[in-house]
Amino acid sequence: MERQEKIRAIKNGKFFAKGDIAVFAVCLLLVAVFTLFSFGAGKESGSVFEVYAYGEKIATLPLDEDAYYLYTENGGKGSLARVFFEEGKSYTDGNLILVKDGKVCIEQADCPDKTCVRMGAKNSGEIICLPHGLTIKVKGGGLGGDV
Amino acid sequence: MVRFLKKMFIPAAAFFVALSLLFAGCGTKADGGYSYFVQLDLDRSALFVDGENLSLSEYRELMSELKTLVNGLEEDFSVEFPEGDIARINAAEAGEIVQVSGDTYAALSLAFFYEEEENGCFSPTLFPLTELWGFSPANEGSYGVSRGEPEEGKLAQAKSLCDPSFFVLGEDHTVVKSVAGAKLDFGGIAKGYMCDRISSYILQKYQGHTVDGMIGVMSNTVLLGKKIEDGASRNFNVAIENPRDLLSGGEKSSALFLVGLSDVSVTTSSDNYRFYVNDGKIYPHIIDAKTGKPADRGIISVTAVVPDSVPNAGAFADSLTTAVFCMPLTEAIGFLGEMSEKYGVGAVVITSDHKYYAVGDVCVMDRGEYAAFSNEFLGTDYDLEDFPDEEEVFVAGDVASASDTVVPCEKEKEYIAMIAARS
Repeated sequence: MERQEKIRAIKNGKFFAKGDIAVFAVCLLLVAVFTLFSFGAGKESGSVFEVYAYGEKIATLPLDEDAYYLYTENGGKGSLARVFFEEGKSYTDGNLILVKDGKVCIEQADCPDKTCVRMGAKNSGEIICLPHGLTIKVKGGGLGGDV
Repeated sequence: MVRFLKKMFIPAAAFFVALSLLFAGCGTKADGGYSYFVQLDLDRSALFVDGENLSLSEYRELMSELKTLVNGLEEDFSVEFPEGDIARINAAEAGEIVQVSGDTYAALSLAFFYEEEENGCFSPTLFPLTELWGFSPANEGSYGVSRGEPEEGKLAQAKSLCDPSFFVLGEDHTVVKSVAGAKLDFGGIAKGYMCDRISSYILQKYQGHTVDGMIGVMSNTVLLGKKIEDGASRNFNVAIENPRDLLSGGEKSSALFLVGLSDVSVTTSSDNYRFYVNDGKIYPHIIDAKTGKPADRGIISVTAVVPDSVPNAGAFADSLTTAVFCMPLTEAIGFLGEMSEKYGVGAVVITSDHKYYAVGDVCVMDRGEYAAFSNEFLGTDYDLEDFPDEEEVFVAGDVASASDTVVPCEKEKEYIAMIAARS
């Protein structure tokens, strides 16, 4: 087929052929499956969250008390302190953790990728900041033993 | 048609690529396509040497050593690892001498010892039956598919291949089979044995120091020393996973608690992993050596606690839960009583009428009791009204009036119907 003929054939073709619909159906299905996997199964919301620095638990804090905490990291060791947030102040030496309305999020961070900030506010699951070795794990409100 | 197929090729290929991405991440691929299955669970925050957590670099070094150890054991013990000891024994002809590692030899000797000790209810020789019932790793992904029972003839044939006397342990770590079709399966002992090896590795590495911590290999846990928390130490409390958590929304939850444990190995076997439902009945992956069929004694979960003063406590606990799962309830309770006297074993057996029986040296609490205990001793602040008696998942059964005929309760029937509807 010549180039011109090809172009004509494409121009005359329908916008949606059967195959195209199949493509869209598959795409939609994948979106649905991924959405279900990531957000599904209505997780029980937690009552506390644990802060880990490089795999070591450094604090367990309540979710029902609104507060700011500052996580700082220095040479493989992390520490956490409660701070009083001042409007307009930008914290440049770690991750500023905000607890509000039973959810925890990272409000500010000076890590290069800011993935942790984009993870948003959570009341289940984990927030991770790889560059600072920080993991926040929300623990269920249910009963639990040591193991 | 050809055009249509061509057009469909790209979306179809995209779909399968996406699907394979979804399922990647389960297990780590080794060379040759073997995927390691066993997961070691040892948090840095859960291990203390002389009351302190290891430094990050020490912890990483330890974990990499342990990973080598565990992967090596899995290679030895897996029925699937090509060139692994168990895979080679299973593929061997009658009379062929198979050289195995010291670990395989030790685990196999232990397994045969436990088989005798546990009245033949645990056996490492049931692999032909496991394959017949569709629970071997080759069926991964379709364990839950509802299916009928195998034909009587095939069942009898597979059962005739399951006999410990078909295996002879020779000098210098050799194993010889007398029947070609006989096959081994360490499913009921491997993870417990791994726990033993991990804990002895750690204790040896930090010899002369006090080691406290929790080591987990899937449903097996070793509790070394004390739980250290906020600078204070106390005994460990273990939550028994609720095998019927589907009834309460499907979130992993705890139904019962074992309180005040120290220097013990704890293992749970339950019927909510690797199982299927057919005709209103649960077929668990644990095969009853006596009947050749999946265990059907009305027992849904068994947890055993073995003091670490007993040699190979982890492997023993692992084999015990498998054995008890296959016993009629009264026999199970009597047997656990004997094990309690002889080895200091403690156990909790949960039945399909949603009762639990505690035997031996264990303190078992239900949710309400544990919440109260936790408030009093662990500084928590649970609202006890959140744990009313009528909402307890399992209720205490009376050991003295236990019966071998366990009638599934309404909740149990509801659970089975849920599983049946799902598959």
